[in-house]
Amino acid sequence: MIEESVKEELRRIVGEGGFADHREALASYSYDAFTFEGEPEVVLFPQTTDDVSRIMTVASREKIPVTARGAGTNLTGGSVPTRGGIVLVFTKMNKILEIDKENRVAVVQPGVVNMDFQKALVKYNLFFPPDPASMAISTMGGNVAENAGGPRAVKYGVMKDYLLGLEVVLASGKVMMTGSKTMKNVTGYNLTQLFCGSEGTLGLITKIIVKLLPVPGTRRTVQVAYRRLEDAGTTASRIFGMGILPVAFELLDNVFINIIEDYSHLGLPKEAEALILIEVDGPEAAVEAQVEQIEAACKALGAMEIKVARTFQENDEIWKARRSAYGAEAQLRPTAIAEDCTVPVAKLVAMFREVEKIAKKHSLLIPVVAHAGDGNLHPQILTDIRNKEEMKRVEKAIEEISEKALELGGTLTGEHGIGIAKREILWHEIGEVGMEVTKAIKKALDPDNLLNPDKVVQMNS
Amino acid sequence: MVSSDDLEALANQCVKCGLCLPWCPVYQKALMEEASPRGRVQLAKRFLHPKPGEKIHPSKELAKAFYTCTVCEACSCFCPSQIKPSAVIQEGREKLLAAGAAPEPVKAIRENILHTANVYAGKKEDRTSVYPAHLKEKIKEGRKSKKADTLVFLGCVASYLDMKIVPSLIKIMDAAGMDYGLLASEEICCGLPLYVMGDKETFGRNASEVMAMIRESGAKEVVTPCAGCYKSFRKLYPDVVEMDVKVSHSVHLIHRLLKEKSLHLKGGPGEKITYHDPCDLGRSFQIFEEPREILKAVAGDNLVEMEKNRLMARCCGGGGSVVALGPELAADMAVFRVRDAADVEARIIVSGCSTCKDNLRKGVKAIPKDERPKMKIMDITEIVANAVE
Repeated sequence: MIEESVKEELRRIVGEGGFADHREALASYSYDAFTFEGEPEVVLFPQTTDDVSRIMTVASREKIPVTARGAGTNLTGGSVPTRGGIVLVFTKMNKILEIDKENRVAVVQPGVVNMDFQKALVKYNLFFPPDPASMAISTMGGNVAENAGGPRAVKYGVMKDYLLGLEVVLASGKVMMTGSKTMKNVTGYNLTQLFCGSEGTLGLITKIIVKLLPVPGTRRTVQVAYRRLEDAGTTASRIFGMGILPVAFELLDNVFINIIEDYSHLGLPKEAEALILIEVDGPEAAVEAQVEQIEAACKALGAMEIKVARTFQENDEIWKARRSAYGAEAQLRPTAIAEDCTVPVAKLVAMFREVEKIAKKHSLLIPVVAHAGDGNLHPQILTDIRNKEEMKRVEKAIEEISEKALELGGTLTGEHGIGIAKREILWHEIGEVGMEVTKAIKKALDPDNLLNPDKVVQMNS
Repeated sequence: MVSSDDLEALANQCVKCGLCLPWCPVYQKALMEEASPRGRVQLAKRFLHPKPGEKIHPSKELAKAFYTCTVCEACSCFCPSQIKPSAVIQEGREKLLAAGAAPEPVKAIRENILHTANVYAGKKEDRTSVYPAHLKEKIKEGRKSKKADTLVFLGCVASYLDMKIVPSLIKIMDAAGMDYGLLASEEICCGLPLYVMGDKETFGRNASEVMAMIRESGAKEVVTPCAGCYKSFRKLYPDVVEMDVKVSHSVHLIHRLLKEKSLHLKGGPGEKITYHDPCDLGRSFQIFEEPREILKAVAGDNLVEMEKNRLMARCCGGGGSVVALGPELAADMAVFRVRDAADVEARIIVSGCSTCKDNLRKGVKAIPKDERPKMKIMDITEIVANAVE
């Protein structure tokens, strides 16, 4: 319980407009895009680093847990409080502080929305590649804390690949700067990257320095349907083998193709086992040549159908199928649990087959869409959270999917993080020693376990 | 109409992904979950269909969350799970109003409509103040009847608040040599605010009254310059009253007159103009191309498109009860839209909705002087009337 006098102290720091403890506000910050819900005792909207530092000073003195939150699009419960306390909402720290065209870097506050940042870069002819599906609303702070990425990761990588430095408020309330505005920096430990993907458990990010790329010339999408999933897998290795690195390489399985087609009537071949979308970018002539090579390779592999976009509008037409995936699945069952296990690219097809078997074994509907170019699968487990019996089977399926991914040399999560969702199985991947080191780091930076407790690792277990 | 059971199922279907947030004009300004479609749906769930221990009771804060929705319906348009957040929130407002917990300014609007038949508590005879002199004279001398094939229904905002929409529409119809009837000071509010605030019962009674007047006029077609009235007649009336008359917006009328070559235009304003899709015409009825074709005829290549247009158009913030509850919030939302227009170097924003015009004008004024773009706000009837030979 936070005492009234402490609430008063917090209210003074953020001002009337930045403080809320009415019932409706607490309910509104009790969830993110994961199933778990839990209410805070106070919701605070800081505006400056100093606000955050002073809040943290009070929180550490009073031992109040603090859960940082951006737009709350997290899929593993990372922005939901488990022990009441403070939810610290960064949406109002949303200034782009600097776009330095000459040095190709930018400095932003954590509440800047990814898409707004991308748009602001257009007039400088600069480009920030990380593109999580939530990018129209998710914040840069959340993107760093989750080390977010999306379809463009095949060629351009994820958040960590663009992160140069941070300003972080520590559990004590002290403020630390890490990294610099330089492309190279090997001074001391790589503290910047320690916070990237730390899910709000090690410190509170208040400023972010990222590097930027020049805008690639043009881009073109190719859609290919195969009767056999294996041919889609071979396509990836063929294309990489030809020296082509696509921006994105997405794959929808037969279950998804049918769900989407029934919903959107796009004319997708319902008998296909795999539908792939390949996007390439670069100078016009190079893109043209690459598209031709891709087309030829797919033909040689016996593709059922090949569609090549000739314009940006046609690119969009092709992406419609991929974009309607989640809307289509939502029509079937009330709950969709998005898994995100990731395997080495060459093991992708094997992993698809494993998911197929697991779905059959537990009588579940699990369509799969994958960022196939980087081995990241999204088995979408369609269920109804109110159906207890089915949820037991769902849990079992998730466990088995995770185990199989690890067996194939992969990882538990490629995008969504550990949060609450996967903390019980974290040790399966990182092992006992990994757990010891993880806990030691947590203990060193957050001795009182105040920063987003119960996420990633549970300190008392 | 969606039943309460369906709404419960829809609310339960919300996966809380947050992908409605970027589309909500209120969230874009407030940046708080309670002011977002997802937030309102979650609150509605706890208010209307709570799980044990999570019940939320009627309160000032709950009312603020439900009533600071502009009813732009962008959330329902873009929800990946298609759960119709705006319908769920509408049910929230209905139950809140029934519990007597609607905000005072909203209750005041209801009283105004009940007692004065318009939202502003304006005098009945003042409805015709905006009419051009020749029309006023005709009415006075009893030479203008209600009876004609086309009945013009002007709406409260254009009658009491805006000085230009009514004379512009009249000028256009006169120029085309049309015969039309007017309800003049007998016209009453279409009732849309009643519906939106959650008073379906009074809305239904009001609709019957309006329809009786329309029937009595013998009109085959009703033309309104008001996007809200249009939405009322086309989308909401059919559920509560028998609609045996064709309803057109002034956009349809002008489009038709141009096509029939009954209207002849001289040159346009000579400045870049852009069309702002009113939510009640655009997202509600997909009326996207007619207004653009009209403006193309008026301004030619000077017509430019804002980045967020048609289905994706950003709401100006003037809808719902937001203007009554938080005029600053409404104006701040309009600021975003004015900046959208400035980004494409437009100098005039044209809309087909009197509420949009009113609120966008407030948006221009809300921008600090030193950064305020040169921007004129006009209704489509005005820009056409100016261009009529």
